[in-house]
Amino acid sequence: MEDIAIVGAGQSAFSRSCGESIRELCFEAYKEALEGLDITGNDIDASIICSAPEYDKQRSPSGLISEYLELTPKPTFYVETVCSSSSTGLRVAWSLIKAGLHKVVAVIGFQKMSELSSRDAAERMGRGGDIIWESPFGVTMPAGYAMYARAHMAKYGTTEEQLAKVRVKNSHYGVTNPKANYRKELSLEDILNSEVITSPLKKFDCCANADGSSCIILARGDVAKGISKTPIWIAGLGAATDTMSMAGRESLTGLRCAQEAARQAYKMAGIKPQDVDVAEVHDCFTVSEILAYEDLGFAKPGEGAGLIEDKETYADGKMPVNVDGGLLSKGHPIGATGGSQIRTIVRQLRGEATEAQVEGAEIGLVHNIGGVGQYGNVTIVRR
Amino acid sequence: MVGITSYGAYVPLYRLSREAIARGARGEKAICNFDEDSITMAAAASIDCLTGIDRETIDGLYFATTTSPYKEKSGAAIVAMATDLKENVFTADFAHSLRAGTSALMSAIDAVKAGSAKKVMVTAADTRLGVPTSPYEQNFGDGAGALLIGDSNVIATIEASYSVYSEIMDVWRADGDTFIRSWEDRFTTTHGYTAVVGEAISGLLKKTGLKPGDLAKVVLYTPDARRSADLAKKLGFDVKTQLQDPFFNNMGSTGTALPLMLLVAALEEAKAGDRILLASYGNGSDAFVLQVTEQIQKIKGRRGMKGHLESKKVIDDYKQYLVWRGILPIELRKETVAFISAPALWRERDANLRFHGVKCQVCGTIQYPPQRVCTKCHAKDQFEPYRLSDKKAKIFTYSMDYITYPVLERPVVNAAIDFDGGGRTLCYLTDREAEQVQCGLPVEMSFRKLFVKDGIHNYFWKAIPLRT
Repeated sequence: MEDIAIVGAGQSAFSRSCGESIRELCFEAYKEALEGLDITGNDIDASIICSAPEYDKQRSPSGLISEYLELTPKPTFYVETVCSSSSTGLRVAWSLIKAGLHKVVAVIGFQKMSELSSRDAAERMGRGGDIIWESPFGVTMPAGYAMYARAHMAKYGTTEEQLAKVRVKNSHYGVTNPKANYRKELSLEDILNSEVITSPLKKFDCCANADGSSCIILARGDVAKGISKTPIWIAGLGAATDTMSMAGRESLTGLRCAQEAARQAYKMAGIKPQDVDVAEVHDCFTVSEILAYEDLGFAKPGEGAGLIEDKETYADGKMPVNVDGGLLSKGHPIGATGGSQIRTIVRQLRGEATEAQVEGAEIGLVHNIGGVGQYGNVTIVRR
Repeated sequence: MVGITSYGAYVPLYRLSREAIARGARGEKAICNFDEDSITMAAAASIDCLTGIDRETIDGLYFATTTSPYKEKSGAAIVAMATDLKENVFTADFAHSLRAGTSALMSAIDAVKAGSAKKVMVTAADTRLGVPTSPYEQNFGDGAGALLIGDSNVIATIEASYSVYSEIMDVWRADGDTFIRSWEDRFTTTHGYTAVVGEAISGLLKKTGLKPGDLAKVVLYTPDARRSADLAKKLGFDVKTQLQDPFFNNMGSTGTALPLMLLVAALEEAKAGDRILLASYGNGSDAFVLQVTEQIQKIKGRRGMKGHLESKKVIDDYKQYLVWRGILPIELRKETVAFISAPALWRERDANLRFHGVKCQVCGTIQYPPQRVCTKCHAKDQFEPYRLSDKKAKIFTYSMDYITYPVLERPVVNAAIDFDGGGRTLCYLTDREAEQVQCGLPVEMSFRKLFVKDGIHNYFWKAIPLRT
């Protein structure tokens, strides 16, 4: 199955400085992804542009990005699953290559969130929920995950302090990531005493909106070996969907879409959770990382908080998670996030991480969620 | 025999201490929450009135108020939807007069007498605004009453009525006015209330041959704390034993709704054989004599006036009241709210206003919002409507949001609630203290307003902690 590889992975700095347009943002990631590769734009057979719509005025951005990166006249199109758009883009790129249509495909994710006020951005994000039955109640992303947190706390006794410990870890690694927006180490007290956003989630339990882009270049195995010295092979792909309406879900203590996506990806890769050496999980909120531990099988249901208590998800722990600082430190330009997670894992497996390097990492996993637990995507890669 | 067959009331949970308005002012006034208005309160009173009654049997609804959120558009239709009445019944709005509550009552009695309807719901509600800090603001309270008029299982028969009308500028609100205007008390009391209500009652006593002593209870509209007592005394009634307490100290004068609400309170205490006199006021007066029957003992399970008055939360923050009523703006930026679409509101009206979910006819699973495919057994289009507005529920999980809208409420509590008997939905929790919110909290549903945009009042159901 290991016949499609990631040959290039790049991202822009994630920032809130409003300094770049969407085309310039995309160029930053594209440029980094092509570094060290023996190809030019002419060798890219198709581009898939991924973002969540309505954050900027541009409709059909794929045409614009494709033009700016000089990828015309090759085909380009747009893929969207909110915060997991670029993971879905990667899945589509894999299928295009697998089907024999293309040999090299670029997956470019971006989001420019600074064009809107935070409030308008929250409203757009809320409209990722059902606009007739949910978002009119002002249900925002933090509110959705706060319900998961509350249910997890009620069922398993997870505490706000344990949630905060996730941010302590991620802020610790964020300091070392030059692409991260937040590079300040936070103490448990800083987090617990920060302003309440949607209880039990406080300011530092939440990731921040940011502008950013990512670019992943996939190639057919034989081609990959020719253009990259260190291709990273796609071993497992999983994708699943839960109901959009939160009230329609079987459980509010775990993400069913992530559990199902993980099951598919492990099966395709032929590995078990304990075989994973390093993982990037979708920590849009601290609670999301704890849910991810459980949904990915790193911990049993209800025991996710124990992993962070025991520091097992630090770089030198049993199961290093988000050692690039995670979304909590990097910021979350939603369409770019999945690609940024892939980039981190690619660098880890190549032994090129400038952040904490997990020594000898062979197998990496990316967990990327769209909406409040709606679209689950798990990608497993190997050296 | 035509008369009242059931009753219900609604007094909002919140009471504003009058001391907060003016130093030394006594008692409390009932105030509706920011998401309530005359339509939501009338719906609540009607639903209270229909406790234990098949809603299919109701064939009319009259809604009376001087404070409808709409100048042009029926409030009665919205109340009838929230009350989940069938569609082929007569509805009407009675408006523009403090007497509208008894105008609706009179019309319902006539409709049943004439045989054009068997059971007519009469509901009245008001949320009148006095100029900030004025005596009017102190005196007014918010609330709603509901009476079901029919000709079988009557708990109080209508024995006689007598009406007068009178043209006088005593209290009024012109188009475009927010607050009540009035002429000075000396004039309005003498030539308005006291003279006109007095004339209606005297006329009724003369018509029926009854003497003041023949009445167990006298139920009088009153604009303030003492006006009705002065009048009752003048007419020869014993204020202490005969006059119905107007609840001025814990509610205030609820305008159009007051005569109905006070009658509900009188009926709660009445026994078979009692004669009750009811009189309203507003450019005239409608007076009625009712006689209580043995059926009165069968009325049970209503919160009524007693239950609603006992269930309260007193606030002493005058600013909060001003903000809730929109008198004091707290935000210059326009509030970001979800889009509003008349076609969407129309399409989803049964789910939005009647709060109908669906029950799967194959496996019995209850779902809200209504679906075409069963979440459990995947049967398609095999559902029956299922009313959730009258079901109790418990909080499964919740969030407390400090950044989202509405900005009038901090924190905003969204809850996933599990209904007794099945079904789960996501909704706001209102009328709550942040400290009391927890998983497992028992809640009930209340008809409220989500937001107003483009002059459209977007009504929906919210959960409230069970009122005890």
